[in-house]
Amino acid sequence: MSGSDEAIELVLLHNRLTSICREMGVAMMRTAYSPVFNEGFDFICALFDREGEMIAQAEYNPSMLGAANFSVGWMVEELGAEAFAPGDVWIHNDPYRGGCHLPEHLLLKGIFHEGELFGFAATIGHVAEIGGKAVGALAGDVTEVYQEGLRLPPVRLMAGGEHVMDVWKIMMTNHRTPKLTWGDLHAMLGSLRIGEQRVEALLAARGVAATRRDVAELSDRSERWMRREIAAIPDGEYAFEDVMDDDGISAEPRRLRVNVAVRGEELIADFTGTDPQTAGPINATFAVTASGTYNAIFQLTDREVPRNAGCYRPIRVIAPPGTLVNVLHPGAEIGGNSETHCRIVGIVIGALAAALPERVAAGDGATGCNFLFGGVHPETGEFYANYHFENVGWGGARHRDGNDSQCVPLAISRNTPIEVFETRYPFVTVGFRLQPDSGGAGRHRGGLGTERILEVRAPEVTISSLFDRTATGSYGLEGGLPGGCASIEVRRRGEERFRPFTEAFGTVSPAKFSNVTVHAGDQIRIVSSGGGGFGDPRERPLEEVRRDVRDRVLSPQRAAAEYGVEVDELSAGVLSGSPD
Amino acid sequence: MSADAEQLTGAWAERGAPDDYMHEETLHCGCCGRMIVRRAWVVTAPEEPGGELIFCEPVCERIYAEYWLPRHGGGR
Repeated sequence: MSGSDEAIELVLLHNRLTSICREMGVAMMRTAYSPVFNEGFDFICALFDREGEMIAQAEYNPSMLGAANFSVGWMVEELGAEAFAPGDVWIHNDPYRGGCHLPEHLLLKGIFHEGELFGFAATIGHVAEIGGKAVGALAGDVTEVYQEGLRLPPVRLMAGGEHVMDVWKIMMTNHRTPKLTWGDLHAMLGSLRIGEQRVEALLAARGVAATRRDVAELSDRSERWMRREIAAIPDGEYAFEDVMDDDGISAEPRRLRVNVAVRGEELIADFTGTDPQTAGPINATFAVTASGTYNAIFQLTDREVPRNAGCYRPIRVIAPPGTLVNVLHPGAEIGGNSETHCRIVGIVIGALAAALPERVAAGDGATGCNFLFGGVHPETGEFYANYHFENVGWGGARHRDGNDSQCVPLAISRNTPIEVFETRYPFVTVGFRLQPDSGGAGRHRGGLGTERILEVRAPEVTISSLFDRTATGSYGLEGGLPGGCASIEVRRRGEERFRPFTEAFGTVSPAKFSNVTVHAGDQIRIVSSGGGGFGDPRERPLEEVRRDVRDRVLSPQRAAAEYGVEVDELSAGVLSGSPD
Repeated sequence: MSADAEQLTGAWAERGAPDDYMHEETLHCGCCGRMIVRRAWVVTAPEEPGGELIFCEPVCERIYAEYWLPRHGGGR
């Protein structure tokens, strides 16, 4: 076979393996019970070799990039390959064993050909309800993992194709919505079956030995490609830091710090100097910190680099144990994979802004605005639970404004459509719009966050919240200004105005709390954060400022104060302005 | 990223005990902080407490020498 024939053969193999992973994801979406799967895409599907090295993945949730890279290999190392038999499916959600956070369950199934283990099909999915202190697990004020939900070490969920009912019973008994768990886990099992069948067909067609050889070559090529990408970044050490509002337990801000060292074709993201692990749930696991780092580097390098184990190898992460970026047992970690992941992406990109000014964007909204709720549905009499999140504004970049209302970079999750939301849950959406003035001012402004107002339509609903970016806006770059902050507020029935939960319910944190009861007629107002601006706002063309005012995304007051442009609000005509 | 074998002094050894479910202490790489599952790359280091440095893989021995020590000046 000539070199070009070999290269074509490898590309075809890569595409086929990736397609298998995508098909696994489609099976998940179409068969899961929970919106967090079938609307939110909060999962990942991947294939591994028998040592646990990733050979392909589909483009699902990037927050699990690190978990996929580590947890399968660690599980195989812990259990030994001999533990896997045909028809077995193992499950675990242990955040201290390579997981991202407790709701994300890894299901792993061996793929056998003629009785020999070739590799594994894996899915990691965010199970919407796992027991614990608060509905939906993402309680903003938990202080240890035991309050967050049911923790499973690696155990068999299926053995020889049969349900291990002892494990299923434990899970169903400890989750508040067992029917959803049952359905979602079976969607994951179906996904694994798809992966298994497709890889078996692939092996039958091209042989085990040739496939092993070629996936190893693909991995090496991916590594070389990523090394070339890193080598193109100027050598140097680039530092950046950011603060999180609080940990939900005390009001003290928490600092994250990174030094990105680029040395030839190797990159080290060193988080030494980050604050110690906190009492509250914003601690990240090692896998989260690695995921956030990979996420940032993948954003800044060629998107065509095949996503297998090879592309991870030149990227090294240093995360001191016992800090915000490498939580130790029994530290609470439920918010690490939503809030802290975003900040890790943000500080790595912020650090590399000095090296790659053409490629980076200013800070994105960087909070999932995690809003959890549950109760007994008045129409069905059954317990329901939901994990709702919001889009944010992305940062402006050198050549464009930031995207408005976009999923945070830790995920590709879609917003649940209002029709689906209202059909399933006892809320009415009173308002939903882009939030004016939330985009950080700049030559290229930050994208806008959103405002959503929900009215309760059940006698009572229990809610929890885990937001960040409520105190400091997303960072701007090169003179751009910070984006607008996020918030969650309540207007109880009959009240005149929305109030923070600290005032209405006495919570310690304005946006990290759990188990607050709201009642019929009460309204919840969720504002998501905007992106930071890029470049001096005074250099933004007049027409673009004028357009933003006309589109009601920028107030005349902000146009004057931040862009130096006086605009008549009614006519949106320019009265005076400093730019040409 | 393969470590240059000629410059490395460590050897693989069993260190982690992931199936000890009665205890939650975990062992972590002395460079990157990753959990050690079973196998560790152990470097004899008389000057260190315990007389050794424990890494998750050979690459971390190199990064420890080339990056960590010059920047941070010692073990954790």
